[in-house]
Amino acid sequence: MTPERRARRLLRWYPTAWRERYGEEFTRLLEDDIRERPRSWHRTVDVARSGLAAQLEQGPLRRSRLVAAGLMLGAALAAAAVLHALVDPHQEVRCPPGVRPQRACALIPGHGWVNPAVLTISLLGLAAAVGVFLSPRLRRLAGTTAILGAGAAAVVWVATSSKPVDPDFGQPVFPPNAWTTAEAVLIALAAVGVAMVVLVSPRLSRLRLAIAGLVLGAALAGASVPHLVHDPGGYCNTFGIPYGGFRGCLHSLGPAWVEPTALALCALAAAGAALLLLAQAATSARRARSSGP
Amino acid sequence: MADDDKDLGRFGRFAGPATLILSSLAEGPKHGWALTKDIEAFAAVRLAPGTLYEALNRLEGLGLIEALPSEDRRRPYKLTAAGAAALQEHLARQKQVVEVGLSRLSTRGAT
Repeated sequence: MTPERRARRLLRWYPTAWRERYGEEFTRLLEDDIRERPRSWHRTVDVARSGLAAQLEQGPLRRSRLVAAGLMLGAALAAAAVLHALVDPHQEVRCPPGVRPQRACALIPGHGWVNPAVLTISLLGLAAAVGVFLSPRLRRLAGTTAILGAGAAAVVWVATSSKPVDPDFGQPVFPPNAWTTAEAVLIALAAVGVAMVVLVSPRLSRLRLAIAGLVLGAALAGASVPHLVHDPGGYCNTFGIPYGGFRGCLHSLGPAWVEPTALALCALAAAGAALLLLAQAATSARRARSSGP
Repeated sequence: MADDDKDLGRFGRFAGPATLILSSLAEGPKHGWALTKDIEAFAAVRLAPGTLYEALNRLEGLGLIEALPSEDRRRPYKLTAAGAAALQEHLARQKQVVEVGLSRLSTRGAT
């Protein structure tokens, strides 16, 4: 990649007004710097930091966009972390033999960090967050990506759920209050992230996207209840919430499918969100045709 | 704009870059790359591009420097009268600190 192209790319960190004032001279300086030091992490980090600072000085809309991007990224990373910690099919919980009840069990992560789903969700979240933050033209794509990412996370979550059984305490080991779980927090974060994107995206039909986000969030929350409360196999609470500790987990976790109800709700939500987005796209296309030459 | 705003000591983390930039411009107008190289030569500090333009933006906003017409996508900046005064005042205070510090060090070494 030429220094000119790399410099133009770095310039994207800055807001439009800043680029209009300093863009040409700044890219020229960057080109000189890149020619002298072709590889420099320090330069990249410095430009990113300075660009973000300039974005924050642009007013409340930019701050809202930053908040939205942060929430989306946070939700995606939370999804990845929860997926890794709770439903990684390769993880193990090892407890000392002969101790009843087993209070000192350890969580062995297995190969969760290479789980493609974790990577996919993280990358989707990152792409959506960067898209929302940096480019107004990418907001539509970012919103769609966020919703599809949340849908993908839900499907992966349902499909890869493992269900350890408590050998000491019988069934069910998971408390009936599903809202205290990490999954509920994740769902709330994802829903808030989508809602924030909707609020700061003036080019999108806010109402339709809001409906899409709410439908998805509500359905995911609904899906979590039968999964967690009526799961016939019980659930190992690896976060220790709320009954503290890893006691009562199986030594090895096997793959399992949860209730058809949860799967159906997730599929319904994803389909509903997709339909709303398609309707939005069709409306936009119709408007573009009618306002054309 | 209040004179206090032009006190480089109040620039926080920009005080260092601002002092270096104003000191470099005291010699004459310079564009971004010339500033980078000059500061690197006289202070052994390489201001990264983002930091440099963050400080330039701030100094220009306070009227301490002024942008000149661009030449070949390079825009030179020059020190204004207010900038020269602010630099003078800041360096005088720094000089006082340096003198006190060196003096106390030499007294400590003698005892």
